[in-house]
Amino acid sequence: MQITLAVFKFNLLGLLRNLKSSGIMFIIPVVFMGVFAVAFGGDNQSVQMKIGIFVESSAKSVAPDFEGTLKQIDEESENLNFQISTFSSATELEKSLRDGQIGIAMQVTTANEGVPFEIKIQGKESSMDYIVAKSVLVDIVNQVIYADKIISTEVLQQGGASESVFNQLVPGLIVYGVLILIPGIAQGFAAITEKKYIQRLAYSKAKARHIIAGSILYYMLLGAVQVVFLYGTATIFGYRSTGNPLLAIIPGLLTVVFVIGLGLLIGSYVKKTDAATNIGTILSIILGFFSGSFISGIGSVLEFNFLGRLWQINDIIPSKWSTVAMEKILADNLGLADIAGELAILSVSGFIFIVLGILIYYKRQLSVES
Amino acid sequence: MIMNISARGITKTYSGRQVLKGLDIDIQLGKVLGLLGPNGAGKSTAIKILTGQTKPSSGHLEIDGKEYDHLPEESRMQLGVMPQDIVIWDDLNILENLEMSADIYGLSAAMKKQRTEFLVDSLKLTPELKTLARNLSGGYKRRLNLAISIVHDPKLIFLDEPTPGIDAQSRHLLMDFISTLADSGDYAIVLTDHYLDEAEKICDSFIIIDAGQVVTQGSLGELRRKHGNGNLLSIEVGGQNNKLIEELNIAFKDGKVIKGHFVCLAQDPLKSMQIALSIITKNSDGVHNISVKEPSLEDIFLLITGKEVRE
Repeated sequence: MQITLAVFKFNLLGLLRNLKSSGIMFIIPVVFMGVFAVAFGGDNQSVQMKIGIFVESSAKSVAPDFEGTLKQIDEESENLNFQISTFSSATELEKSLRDGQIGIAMQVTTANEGVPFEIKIQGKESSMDYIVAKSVLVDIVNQVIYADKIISTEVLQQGGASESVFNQLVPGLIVYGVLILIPGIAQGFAAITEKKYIQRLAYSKAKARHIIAGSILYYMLLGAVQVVFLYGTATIFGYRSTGNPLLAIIPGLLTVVFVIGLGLLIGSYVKKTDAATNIGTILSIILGFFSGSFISGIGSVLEFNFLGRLWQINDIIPSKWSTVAMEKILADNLGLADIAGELAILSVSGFIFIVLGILIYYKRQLSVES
Repeated sequence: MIMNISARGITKTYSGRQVLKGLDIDIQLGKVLGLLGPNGAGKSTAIKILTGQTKPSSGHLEIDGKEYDHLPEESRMQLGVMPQDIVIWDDLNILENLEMSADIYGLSAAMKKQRTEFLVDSLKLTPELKTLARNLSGGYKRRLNLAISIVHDPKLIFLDEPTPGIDAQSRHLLMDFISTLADSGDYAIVLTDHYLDEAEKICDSFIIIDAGQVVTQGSLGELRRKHGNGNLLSIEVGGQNNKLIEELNIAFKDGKVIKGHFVCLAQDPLKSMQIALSIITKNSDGVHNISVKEPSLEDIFLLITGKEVRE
């Protein structure tokens, strides 16, 4: 334990005494947050709206053909793009809304009294589709029926979340804050070789497990701090979560395990700290994109069917599931039980990467030369 | 606790090139061994094998009489190895460096305090105790390099060129400290050094390696008897006085020209001087200096290898 703590302390002092260079891992995600907050903090105009419609059978004879009207507008408009799905029940409609398959739901039902029918428009307040589509849809419906008193809008989830794309991106940006640790971690393990620290460690009681355990302890602490720090930063930029931010630390920590494994793998093969930093930075950016840190839904660029399920290309990237877990916690106010699948994927993948990293790093850098 | 290490028939081949060709070394407690040779001779490779950083291609090690094909891991902890490169924890100050090193050697708190205070005092590190290692001068870095190598008080110490590129004061301080350790009789020290005058003062015996082979070994007196019979005639010959050199070669059959000096062994220094002067009188062009002296280690090294130690 003495040796593990000595390694931990060494890493921590190294960070504190090199804040100008190592501070970049905190600054970059903050910069990204700031840029996205400014660029996407307000209402956004989306050109694509996934609309689900349910018309109660008793209302079909009295209500206008909204579906037909929307399809016609879609064909005629250059700016508006509707994907319209019809549902046979309100229950199915609402389930589809909750699952994210549609962004806005429109129910046409018979009214109790005074009006021939009622229109209820539902959506998630934090959903981009709902934010943009609501005003557009209400305008269209108003034009069709020339009255707005029969339209009510309802948010599916209550909360104080800011209505912006920035809100949607914050969980992914927090995950990116963990991914940006990769260059620092890779650099740290490469430094053991470059600065020949291994010569010191080889004649001591320090074994590979001490070096790696001390480093893991340090990076886990760093990861937890990063998650909390970035959540706080997002809050300053106007983000309001509907969920418990402390729970977000858990997928964050599991992502750190994966990230440490990557850092070990890079440090195993790269003996220069500059090269390790560069490779780590490139990797963190690529992973950031495919984890949905900068563009949500990027996995849909390549989808394929396998074993009866639709997969996206980034399903194989562990940090993507971290973003999904964080979104569920922060945006949907779900608990740990609801992200069990994501946590399982993160745990298994993190374990695989870190074990591989340890084995290869030990073999290539820490064992006696033949 | 290891009392002695011996190497027998050690060879090492890297990518088809044999860098060590059958090395025998004995390291004993209470003795200081100087491992000398020009650059690329194989000294560092020998140290790496003796300290377990690398395995020999053939040969074996004997540790307290037991044979091993390479140094076992548990034995490595009993060594103190000061590498040729300065390997210190850059982001820690001197005190933290010593404490970190003490921690990785698993020293108790009391031992850590005792050793830290001893090394800070002995190597005069106090003035820069709180300075980060990366900001230290070369002399302080070398002293720290030594200090953290022996913080755990190992009895077998390997010093790979402890003093290159530092000021004279730091060099003397370091060598004085090493002398103190040597004089105590409690340590076995293996020293490689380019400053042969330093090595001459503190080593009990020497092994001179050239091109991976041991060319001679023994104490300074033994080396002098083997290779100098106590005296060395040296004539500094500038320019291209081939006639002079030719006549000197006839008169002194074991002489050779090294770096502008004609050198040879002088069993009878007075007679040798007379012969040399009579030749020089006839061919004095370019002759700057003539001397007969007891050969230093550097002279013996030059005579045997034909090279300077820093070549």
